[in-house]
Amino acid sequence: MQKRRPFKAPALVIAIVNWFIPGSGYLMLGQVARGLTIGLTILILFVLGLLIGGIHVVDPPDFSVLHGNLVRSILEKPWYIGQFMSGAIGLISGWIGPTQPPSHARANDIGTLYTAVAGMLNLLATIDSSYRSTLEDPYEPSTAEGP
Amino acid sequence: MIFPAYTPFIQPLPVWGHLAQLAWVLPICAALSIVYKSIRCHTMSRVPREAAVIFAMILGGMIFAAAVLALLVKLLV
Repeated sequence: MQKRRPFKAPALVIAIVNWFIPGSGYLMLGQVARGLTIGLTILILFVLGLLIGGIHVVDPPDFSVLHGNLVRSILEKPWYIGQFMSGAIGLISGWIGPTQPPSHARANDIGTLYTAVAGMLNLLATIDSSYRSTLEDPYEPSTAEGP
Repeated sequence: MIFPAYTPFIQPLPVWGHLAQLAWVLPICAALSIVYKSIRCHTMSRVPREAAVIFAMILGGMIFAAAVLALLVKLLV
């Protein structure tokens, strides 16, 4: 027996929703176990990064001092590209982070790595969930199998 | 000298020492394995087993690389 997709949405919508809340794209496709596993793992990894290094590890580029070069400003803080990919939690942390005391040394490195890797994993999940939404049957066939 | 109290998520976690910092490799490897295998596996029931295998492979690979590099440093220095 096949599960029914809750509702059909274009791949772009699935991608945006999954980017904003990790794992939610799969939930929209009806893949609850996959969505919860991926979403919770990404969120836990990101929060763990904030715990290790402090919230200042999320340090977005300062767009108020652009000097007319957007790309250069972004490339000055390349880790934020990964952190941005983790969606809402990355945006909120990037908004709060710079107002908090700076992190330092190894804890800062590890925290930055955790948060950026969480974002890159969310990018993988976003691409996968939007691809699955284009398939005729994106559901796992495990429902037809035995335990 | 007065040190301010540790505030979680504001200040870095007060963990010092190489071993304690090395332990932070475990959660990131575990998360990477779980998410990667959740995407790759056809059925979610296979994820725990396959994630455990790839987790062990990543750790084994890193330990092997560290051992080779340590040996290289010992030979060269």
